Amino acid sequence: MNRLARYDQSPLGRWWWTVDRWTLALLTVLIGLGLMLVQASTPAIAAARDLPNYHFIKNQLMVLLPGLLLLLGVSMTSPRSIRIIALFGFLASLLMLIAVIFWGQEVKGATRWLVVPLLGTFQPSEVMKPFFIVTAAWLFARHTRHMGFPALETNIIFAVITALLLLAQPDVGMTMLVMVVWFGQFTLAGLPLILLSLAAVLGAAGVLVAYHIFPHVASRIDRFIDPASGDTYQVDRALEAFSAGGLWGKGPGEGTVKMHLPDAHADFVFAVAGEELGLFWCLVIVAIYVAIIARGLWRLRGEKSLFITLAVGGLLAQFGVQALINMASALHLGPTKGMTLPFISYGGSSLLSMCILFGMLLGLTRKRYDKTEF
Amino acid sequence: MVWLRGRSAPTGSDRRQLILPGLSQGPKAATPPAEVALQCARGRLLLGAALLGLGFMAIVFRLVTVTVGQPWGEPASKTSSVEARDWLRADITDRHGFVLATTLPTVSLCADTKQILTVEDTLKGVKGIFPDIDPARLEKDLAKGGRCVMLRRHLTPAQQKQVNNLGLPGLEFLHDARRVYPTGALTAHMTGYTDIDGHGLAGLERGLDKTLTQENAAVVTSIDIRLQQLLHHQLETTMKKFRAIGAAGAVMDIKTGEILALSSLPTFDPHQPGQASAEAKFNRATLGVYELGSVFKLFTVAAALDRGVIKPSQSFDATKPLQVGKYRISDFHPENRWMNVPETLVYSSNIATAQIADRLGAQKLHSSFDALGLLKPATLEIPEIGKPLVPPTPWKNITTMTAAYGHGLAVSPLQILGGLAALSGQGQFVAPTLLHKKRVAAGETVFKPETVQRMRALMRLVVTHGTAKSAEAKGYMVAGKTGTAEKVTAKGYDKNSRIASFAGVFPIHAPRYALFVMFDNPQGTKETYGFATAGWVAAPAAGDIIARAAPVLGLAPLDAEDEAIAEQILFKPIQSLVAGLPKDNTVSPVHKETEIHKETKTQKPQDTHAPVTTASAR
Repeated sequence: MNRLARYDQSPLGRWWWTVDRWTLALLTVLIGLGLMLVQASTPAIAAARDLPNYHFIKNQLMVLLPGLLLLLGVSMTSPRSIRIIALFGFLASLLMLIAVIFWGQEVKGATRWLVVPLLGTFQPSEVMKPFFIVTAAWLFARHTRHMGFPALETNIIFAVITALLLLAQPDVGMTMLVMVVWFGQFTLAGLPLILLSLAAVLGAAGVLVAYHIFPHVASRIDRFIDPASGDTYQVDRALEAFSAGGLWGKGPGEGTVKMHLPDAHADFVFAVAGEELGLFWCLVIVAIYVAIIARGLWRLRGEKSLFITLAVGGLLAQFGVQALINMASALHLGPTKGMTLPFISYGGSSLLSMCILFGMLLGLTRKRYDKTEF
Repeated sequence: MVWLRGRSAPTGSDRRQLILPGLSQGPKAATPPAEVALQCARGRLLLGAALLGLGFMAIVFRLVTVTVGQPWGEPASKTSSVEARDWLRADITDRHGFVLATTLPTVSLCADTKQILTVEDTLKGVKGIFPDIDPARLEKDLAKGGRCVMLRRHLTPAQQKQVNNLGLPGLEFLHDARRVYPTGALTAHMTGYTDIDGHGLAGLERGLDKTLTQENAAVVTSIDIRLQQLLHHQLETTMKKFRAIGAAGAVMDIKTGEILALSSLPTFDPHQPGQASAEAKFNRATLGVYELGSVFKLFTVAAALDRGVIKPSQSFDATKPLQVGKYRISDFHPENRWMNVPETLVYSSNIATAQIADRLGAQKLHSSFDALGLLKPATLEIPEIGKPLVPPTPWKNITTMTAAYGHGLAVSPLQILGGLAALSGQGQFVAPTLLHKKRVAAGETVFKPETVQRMRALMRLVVTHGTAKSAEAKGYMVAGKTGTAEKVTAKGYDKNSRIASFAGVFPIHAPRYALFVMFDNPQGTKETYGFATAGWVAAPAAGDIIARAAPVLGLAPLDAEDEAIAEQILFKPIQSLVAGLPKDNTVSPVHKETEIHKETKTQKPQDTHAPVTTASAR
């Protein structure tokens, strides 16, 4: 099949031989499993909402195909272009986040969605995440070399604005996720651990404040700590699903938990996986996440560029933490949090965001023979 | 911290150095600052990766435990729905495995108001299948909305099919389960019942709630359903015949304490406890406490004999009523002569028993009653246990003397069984139980073997010569004592309202089973010449029960010759005294049912010395 010979110097050939093909392969498997689970979990929900049977999978594919093109396209560009894309993407996202406040669509008490004519609804905060990470990495790295430009100040201002815009929706979970990744990057960039601890304390205080300001946060945390205090219907059903699935699962499409969980295709898709595919394939999914992260770290081993190290570290952290939080809440290891399972949950914005994330990640981790520093 | 190495001597003007390492561009830096920053980032990246790794390990561990159970121990629950897990309630069976209570899976019907087309159509369809539902209430429920508005619990398969045939959207079935009692009212007082969600509310369902929900194996009770049936039937027959308002009875294995049958009438349908009256749900056998009268004479005499206070041949003056202070104790039909111990029981003399108790003394009588379990609540696996009504200690003279013949002291029928076991078995108190036991229960020793031997003979004498003649079941060597007590009403003792009871043991030559039957307020009939005393009511019922129970229990009847021999052996210790008793109809129930208690008319017992006791304590 080797159409692309080693000596092929076309852009495609260069891309193929420099990109991390392992990560590409792992992503392919993950996306395949994700499509299967979305198709398994959504007909019940479609029926409940009076939508055609294939509504959700069609939507997912409609996003996935352009998303994959975007992924490949971004991964072909140079690190230099990637950070410019990121900066403009981030600024555009900020504008959209502001727009959400004024023209957003309210769903279940939170204003997170923009209605885009012809394309349907769109969640700017999802798409903002990878752009913000790369932009922040750039500013953190730039800080070490350019005295003249107030990179750190800019960075902090960006972070504060982002956090405030997210809290305005309100989206406490997303705020926390974005801030955790940003502080992670800050730490990589050399934030003294004492300041990190201070940030952690402030973060904890923030959670306490959120607990008292937002009733839904309080209720979710209460229900996690003391299941008797409220309705733990979703989590109970999710745990039952895992138990019913056992080692090998009931088979794709054979599960019943999706009939009972309104968020089976998004927040609790892992429970559907547990019931229909069983423990073995759940472990495979976890292994794929771990492998993608490990692979990304491996590609960083000889990296001389601080920017790339910070950016890839941040993107991997975003990917890993989001996967962890989703699986933890489905397994009742943490409070329920509306966070998607990367590439597996249904959701266009989330999928698009992950495609951008991995486009940039693959682009940044390509083998470079010019050791230009960025 | 790696970055510190790259930072050489920070100065006040270079404040940024404090924050980020790469800023240190001092000429003295050994390594290029960018390199330092990169090293720092690498190190911390690994640390972060390790943290993420820990997180993923936690996920894997949790995944394994919730899917296939904890790797080190218990397997995960096999049930897949919350309801089924809640309903995992074990069966209750009789001693031979006959099911007394079980759980059947059912479905319940609920409506998802987001999916139903119109409330009217849904109601119309449902009403067609369940004509008894209240459409107004359901309409209100449906109007409120919800994903599962309960329409009907526990459908039959036929009803489920009918609902499916309606083809209405939004009608959904829930997995459900219901508790079923195949023996129904027959065992209702023992099994008890649960609420609609399967939580034990009464009887064993309540008492053993934890065991039933946590352990998978059936609870095997001591009950023998065959004995239960015949006890119940006989009590019911006698109760109807004498128009009694209630009855109670129980059979106990005196070796193990196992209750083989236990009935309280009237009874109720455990499937619909809500529709039963409080009267029907009241367990007379264990929760009700009653003044039981002469049955107590057995305990008093045994206590006095055991402590050597009296000898069997000793005689007591029963020539005239006994005056104690302002109270007068008299016999129901006075013999007006001196009586020895066998005569005291055979003629059921209050006067003689009171004197025996007087000799024994308040303290000793109290401690013997206590050792027999008569003064504290019995222990049993059901929560419906009555607390006996006991006069406050120290007992006065008159209290002791009346308590000796079962007056001024109310106990539950269950307590009598424990006492009978000590009296006739091994001399040890045996705690009753509703659980099937292989092991012989060893209780506290109350009486010497010699006392037990004498008591067996005395109890047999009451059946052969005394008031309990009709309790005899030919060949099964019944022994026992009748008791007729006037019920306590608000105005004192009511002469026309009685508790008639019989406490017995069989076969007395090899004692194995204790029996107690009791009838609440029986009315005399033409056949009994208007009498409704224990000798007429309780003793014949007991005889019928024993005659039919013995074959079920595997007892072979003695023929006349063997019976004579067994009796000879039994009566040997009191041979000379028995000879003096006329064997013929001297003590007919009609004339010599010399039962309880006569107070002077002006003095009601609860005025002074006795606690206010209600015969049917609620």
